[in-house]
Amino acid sequence: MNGLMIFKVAMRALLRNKVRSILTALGIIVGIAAVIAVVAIGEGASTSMKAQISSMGDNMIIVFGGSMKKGGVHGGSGGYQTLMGEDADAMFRDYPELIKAYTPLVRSGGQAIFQEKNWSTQIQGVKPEFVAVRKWDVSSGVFFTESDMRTGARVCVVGQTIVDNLFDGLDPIGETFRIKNMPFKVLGVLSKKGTTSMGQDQDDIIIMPLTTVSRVLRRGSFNNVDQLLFSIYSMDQLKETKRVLSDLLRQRHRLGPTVEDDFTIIDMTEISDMLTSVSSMMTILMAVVASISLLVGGIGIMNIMLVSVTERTREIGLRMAIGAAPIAILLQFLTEAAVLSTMGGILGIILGVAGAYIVGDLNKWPIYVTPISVVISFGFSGFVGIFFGFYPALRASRLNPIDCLRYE
Amino acid sequence: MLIEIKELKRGYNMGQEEVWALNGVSLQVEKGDFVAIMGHSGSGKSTLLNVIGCLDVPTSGSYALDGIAVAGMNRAALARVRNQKIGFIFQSFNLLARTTARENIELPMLYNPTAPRGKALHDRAENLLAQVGLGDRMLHTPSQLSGGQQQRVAIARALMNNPPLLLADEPTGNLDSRATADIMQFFQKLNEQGQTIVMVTHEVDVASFAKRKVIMRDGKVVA
Repeated sequence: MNGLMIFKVAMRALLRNKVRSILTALGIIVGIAAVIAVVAIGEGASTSMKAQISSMGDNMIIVFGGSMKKGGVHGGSGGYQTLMGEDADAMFRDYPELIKAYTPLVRSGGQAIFQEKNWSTQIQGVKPEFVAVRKWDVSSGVFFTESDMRTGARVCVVGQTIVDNLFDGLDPIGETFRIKNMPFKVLGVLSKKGTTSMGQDQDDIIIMPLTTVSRVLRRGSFNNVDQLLFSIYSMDQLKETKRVLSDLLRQRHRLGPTVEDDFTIIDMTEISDMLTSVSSMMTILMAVVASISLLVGGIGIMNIMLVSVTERTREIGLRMAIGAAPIAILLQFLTEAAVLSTMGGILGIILGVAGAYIVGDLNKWPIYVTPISVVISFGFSGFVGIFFGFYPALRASRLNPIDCLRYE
Repeated sequence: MLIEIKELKRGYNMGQEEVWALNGVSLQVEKGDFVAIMGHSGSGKSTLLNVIGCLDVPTSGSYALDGIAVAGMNRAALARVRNQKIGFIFQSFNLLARTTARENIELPMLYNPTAPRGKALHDRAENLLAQVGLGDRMLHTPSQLSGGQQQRVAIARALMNNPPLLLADEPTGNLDSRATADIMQFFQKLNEQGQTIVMVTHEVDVASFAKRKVIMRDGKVVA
């Protein structure tokens, strides 16, 4: 009996009981479909997260005032007003070979009012270099200029969400809206960035000159800022830049050698690591749950194979009588189990991929089916069949032909 | 000499004492013979058939089938002997359900490494089916065939590997008198063509078709 014939015999036996074969494989089908779908959704989330992070800025380093614990939220901004716009100026002046562009950033918020509409949003004050640092330009109109910065002009650019909610989707350029009873003129509309995978709408934002936000909106002391954004020439210089930046800030803030930093420097790779560690943890967790369902599916196969061996005792006896060696019987039942589970695996892969795309489509989630997850699922389903099919097959091969032929 | 059995014993351990199903059987069957083994139930005739059929191994004594000493072979080697040397015919036919007559007949070839494959295999199966008079029932499943027809399919299957020995265990036990006469006449025809047949039966009129009768009682050949 060669491999092809063993396969044919197994297929014939399975096709004799189509409904039972499908029901037996159902455990594997569901298990594999779950694994494939979960991994595809998880991978899709983390891939799009990485893409978003890299689109957040051009080799960007962010400095927060105050301290920030890794993996937590930063409680520094607003709480500790330790950073100054001049810190960033000094960094650029001292290390022009490292820093490509920079801007300080101050944050505020407020209720914007236009005619009878109003919308609560976040406001960021930056320098015009923001466009270069964040790789984020206007899609229509213009960004404010250096001279708007100097005069603290009441001008701004707005995100698409503001356009949709405050201006009913109409062209807002040239229009004037009010915040805290002060008029601001819209110069441009920012290109659409979409929602982050953490659910934050990046287009729900108004960007103004730094001076306008600190002097007019916050009425605070001019020099304090929330963040410093730096764009560096090369990621290869990331470590060095962070080191010299830290030294410079400590020196400017007059921190003694034993005093902790009153600022936190992070770069995009850290944010990316943090987010992917969360999402990969979720993926692993879900994969473990899905594997348990595969285990249950495997036990289902073993159960049915045991029933099948008992049910086909006479057939086994006959096959032995006409010359089937024990190994041939073993291989026949083992192949049946393996075919059952790999067919289930293939069906599960198809269902899982389809399911992931359907769920992704309904929820607007990105889906990424990794080839490796398909290969591993397929291999694993085959392994489950062989592992759980071995015991029933061994039992069949050890039966005594005389007893089998007499079996009623 | 096709079958040469000397002082064969087969015992079963029933608790404390040994029960001898075969208690010193000697039997010789020449090529071309047609032997009916008779006896009441419990006389040991089925055990003898199982040993001759290499399904069971004797406790002691010697058994040579077609010149091969069978005693002491392992299960895989016995399976090979069964495949090449013996065609089995059972009382309850033992055809695979929901499987066509042709596929049932081809089954022994599946385990025969030297068997033809593909079209040659089908041709041989179809040939045999025609020989047993079922050439038009090739693709029928057992449930679509009468008892006599099923047994004829089983005979065709037994002949598939061209075995020197045909072993039949109560081949007509499940058949009516007409089908019984049919099958036994077919056996005689096969025998006339040189096929050696050993058959177990308890019916005297079935046994009368054979050339020779072997009567067993209490694990021994008495006549």
